[in-house]
Amino acid sequence: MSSRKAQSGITLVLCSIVIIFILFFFYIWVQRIVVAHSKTAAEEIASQVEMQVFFSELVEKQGIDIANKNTDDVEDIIEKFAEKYVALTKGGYDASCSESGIDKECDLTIKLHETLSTVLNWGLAGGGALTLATAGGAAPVTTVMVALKLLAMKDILSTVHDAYLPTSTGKTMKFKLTVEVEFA
Amino acid sequence: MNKKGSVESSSTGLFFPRGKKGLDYAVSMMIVVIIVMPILLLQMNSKITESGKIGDAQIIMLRTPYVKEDIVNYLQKSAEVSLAEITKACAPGSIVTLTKKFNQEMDKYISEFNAKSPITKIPTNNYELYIDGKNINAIAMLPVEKKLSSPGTELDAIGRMWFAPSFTITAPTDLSSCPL
Repeated sequence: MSSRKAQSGITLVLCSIVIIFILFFFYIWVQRIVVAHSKTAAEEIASQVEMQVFFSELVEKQGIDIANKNTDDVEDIIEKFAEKYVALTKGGYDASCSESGIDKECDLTIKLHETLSTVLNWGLAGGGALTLATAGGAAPVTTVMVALKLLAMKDILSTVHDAYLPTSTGKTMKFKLTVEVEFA
Repeated sequence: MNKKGSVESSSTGLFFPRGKKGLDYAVSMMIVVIIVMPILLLQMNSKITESGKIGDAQIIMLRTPYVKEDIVNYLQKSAEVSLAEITKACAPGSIVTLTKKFNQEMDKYISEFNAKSPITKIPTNNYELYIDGKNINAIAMLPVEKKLSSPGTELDAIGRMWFAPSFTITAPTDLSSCPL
């Protein structure tokens, strides 16, 4: 009888240990998933907001020209503005616009001349510090670079923005801008 | 051993049961835990990675100030484009006041905006002016109502905001003597 009791006791203890281990590993697993997803969500939020800031600055500074000039000039305006705003050392900018009545619709494609491994290092570090550790010290990683990474890796396919702009003829045009990023 | 032949039943309860029934219970619980945990994990993983869930509301909220600025920018640019016409009200012999002329010119653009914008509407005849040298401070009396949503999904708004679309433009000449 006592050996059966002992056997039961050992089985119970083993069952308890197994359940504790399962719960522990489940907790660790869930924590890793949540942390990874939180980082992605934070980067996506930062990227979307950053691209909205880019668009708002574009319409604020170049709005009248965008509304009143032809599509070729508007393409040039967008490319030059993006070049100054994004300020990539290795990057290309290509805008293409179309007109539908008075409204204009433009696509801006930013081409990255960086390697995949370099782009993958652009990210929000722990604590939100936007720095990238390099051999020569900490290189700054701007929010726009994080946005470009997410767009290049297709975590975000594209960002779409629109705004209304007044023309000098007293009309209102709708300006829509789609931003995409590609590896050159 | 009792009459039913089972091992002495436990008096300790749920967590450390003793006896055969208790042992069966513990093993079955362990099996349930082993089965349930991966199911829970899969459920959570599918929910957490589902698009359109986490972060969407935050994106809309954080974009809102810039979307608001785009509308104020539209009104400011409209006033800048109309500035030459507006300042005609300051010419000697003009029969309209600067405020009236300003609202007349702005209403052309506001009506155009309201005709094109499906949801957001800007109130017309909405400005009172305050002149400070060359600066015209246009103070909005009624606010603009804007639904908080992603572009193209205005019907799925997460909320609404109201803001006064006031702004300042600068004229080329001093307007201090211009009748308001």
